[in-house]
Amino acid sequence: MRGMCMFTETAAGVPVFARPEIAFEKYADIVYRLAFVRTKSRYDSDDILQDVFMRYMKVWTRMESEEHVKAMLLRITVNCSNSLKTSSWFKKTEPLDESIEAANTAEENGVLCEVLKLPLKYRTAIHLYYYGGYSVKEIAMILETNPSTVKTRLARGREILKNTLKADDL
Amino acid sequence: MFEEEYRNQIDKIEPDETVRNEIRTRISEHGTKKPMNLRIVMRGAFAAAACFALVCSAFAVTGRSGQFSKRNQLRKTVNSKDYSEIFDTIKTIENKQIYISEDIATGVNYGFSSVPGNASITTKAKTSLPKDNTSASHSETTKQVEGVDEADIIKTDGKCIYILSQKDKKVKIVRANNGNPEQCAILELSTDGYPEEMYLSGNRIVIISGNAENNSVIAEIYDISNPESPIKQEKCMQSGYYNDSRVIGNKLYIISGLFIDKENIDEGKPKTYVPEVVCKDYDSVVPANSVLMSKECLSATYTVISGYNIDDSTLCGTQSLLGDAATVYCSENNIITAARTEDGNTSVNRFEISEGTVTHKAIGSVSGTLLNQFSIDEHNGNFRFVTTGFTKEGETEIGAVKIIGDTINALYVLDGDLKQIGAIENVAPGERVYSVRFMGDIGYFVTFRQVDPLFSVDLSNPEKPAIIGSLKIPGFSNYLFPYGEGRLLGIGKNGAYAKLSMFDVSNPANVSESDVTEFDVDYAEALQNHKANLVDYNKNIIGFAYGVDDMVKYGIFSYENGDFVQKAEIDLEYKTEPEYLYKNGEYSRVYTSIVGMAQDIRGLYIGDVFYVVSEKEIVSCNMDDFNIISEVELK
Repeated sequence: MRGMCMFTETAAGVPVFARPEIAFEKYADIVYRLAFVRTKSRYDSDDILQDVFMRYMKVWTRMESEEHVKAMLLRITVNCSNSLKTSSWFKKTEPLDESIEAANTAEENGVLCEVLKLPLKYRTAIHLYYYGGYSVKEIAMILETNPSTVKTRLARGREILKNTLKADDL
Repeated sequence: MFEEEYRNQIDKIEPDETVRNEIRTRISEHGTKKPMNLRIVMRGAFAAAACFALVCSAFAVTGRSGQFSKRNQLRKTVNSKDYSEIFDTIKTIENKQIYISEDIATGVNYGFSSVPGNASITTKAKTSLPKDNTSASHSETTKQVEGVDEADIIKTDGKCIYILSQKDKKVKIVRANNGNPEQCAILELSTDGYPEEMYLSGNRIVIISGNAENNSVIAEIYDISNPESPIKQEKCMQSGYYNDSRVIGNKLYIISGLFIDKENIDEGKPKTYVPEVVCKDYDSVVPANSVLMSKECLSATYTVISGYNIDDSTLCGTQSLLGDAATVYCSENNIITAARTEDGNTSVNRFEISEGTVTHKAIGSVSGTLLNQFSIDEHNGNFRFVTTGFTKEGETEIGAVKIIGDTINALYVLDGDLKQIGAIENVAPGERVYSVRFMGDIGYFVTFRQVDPLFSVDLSNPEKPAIIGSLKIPGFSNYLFPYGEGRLLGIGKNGAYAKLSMFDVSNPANVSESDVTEFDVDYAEALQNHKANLVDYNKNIIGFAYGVDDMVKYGIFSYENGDFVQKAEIDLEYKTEPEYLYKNGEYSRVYTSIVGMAQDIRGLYIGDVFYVVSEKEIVSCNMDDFNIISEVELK
């Protein structure tokens, strides 16, 4: 019954840019990268990428703008990786106390490695800010939290990175 | 430079092609691509007869091009003889993008010209100027190639300002009135689709919409000889999603992509697997011989390119290719389409265009991937491409992460058959191309990682292009614009700042940065969309909108005696409108974004008055002192 999909009742005038196959070509990479930053695993990121677009297929007809599509996809990515977080594998690999190991190899592995060593909440905020180019307010929307929490997470993340990377331009 | 380094490293994390394809298949299986549902007038035996007639008329063309293909040792790219051949080919396509190998570069001269008497129509258009022609000198949409217009959401003809409101499906028409704008009409679009962009051509306005419902691109045309009461003309439609478009004179070219769902095709119904075109004088699937196929460059996505006459809504020519297109470059005589292939290279197709006719001429490929349309250029019959690719070197693993190899940049010169005749390879390893601009015999491109080298390339001998200069400065430019004799304007970023750079290129071998200005910007559409910039050397004006600290501003600069001068910074008082992330579902949270507000704002001038235009309001100011004349809210 493929013909009886959920799109039959779609209202006329669905924006072309929101179409899942177009959104996929455009945003697969940014979804994948956020998933990777959160899970630190390509295998999980592959699954999340697929999950995100399967969920997106249910909501794409309601998208109102390009930014809306992007924010929605990131929002779903966070949700999808949250549900993965509760799986046992993730618990084993993610230190439960989210403390940071001593980082002496910053010069060797570069900034990505250092960001990945940050606790989940910090590195998500750092990633969305520096890679996604989002403002504190927007990150708060995507993470469904309030801006001051995001500010704190960014500040703590930056502090740690400044120490490990000995960088002042954060 | 934490930000750039981080971006560079995270950019290398990307899903495998096999994963991508698996998801692509799953998306397409969900049935988002419904079969075309266009109005079809020809049915049954009558349709067959009509198609037969078209095939016959096209044989004349076929005969001529026979020689052409022989000369080029045509091997793999062929026109289909009939629809069953197309059907059989599509059936064999696997659900993945297929790489175009370099050795299938061939030239095929097909296509058809269905409308006799194009020339007379053209002359008519040129002579029929609007009666109340009080238009003053005015700015135009920033475009890549002189004479080839690009679509945008805000346009002016020097008399009125036309604003496309995408959400409301309206065009707001405003008389400029020398700085005292007066809204004179609201054009309610009849489209079922989503209005994307528009054109002004002569006394016509063309609004291009994409309709996801029936998977088509629609060009609505209105006669605006009298802007107070636009008159609807016959519309033009073609299958697929909207990729890009251009207007040359009164000819509109639309490039669309049509995905064919293999599971739902029926040999007896060509419309389930052949693109359709509907306009005043054509309403059917395209003729079989206008569809090009290659055994090795197939994907189940067509690139459909059609040329229309804007004045009378007729079809001038159409050509479809079974293969993807992403980036589109268009000069006065050629359309180049390029698509990234599975292995990270780029397949390239050349279509010759002339008075609306479209003829596929050549197929080829280059190593690496393109940044945007500015990565492609035509000069003296040759085509130049600047690409970024990845090397095996530097492939590493961080934990479970495979980091793909270092980037490497290159410039290729291809001839009209898209055969490589010259190249510079292995440029700036580890860096990535951020902007490209070709200016005749000289090409400029910016790569970036730590500092931004601006490379100058001498292309006067297309077979031996050579890098003749490189200037290293902090930050990078997203766009490069020629700015008068011997000057190149760079608009880009340095960290969290927007950056304007003026390069002295009077000696391309010894480029210097004559001035630079940086200012705090959170978001600027101008850094991602060249059409959001206003760059006019004759009026000495540079302008674009940006968002900073929850404010939306329009900045206007000029370049005087070797220095950038900020002429004005116009505050736009846009209220933050609540937007819902997902209306009736689990994440119903208000989402406001400075990004959304600082978008879709354009600056333009008419005579001596400058206008900052959005769909909400128009702010006009005097270009001498930039004092505000009026602020008008739009309905």
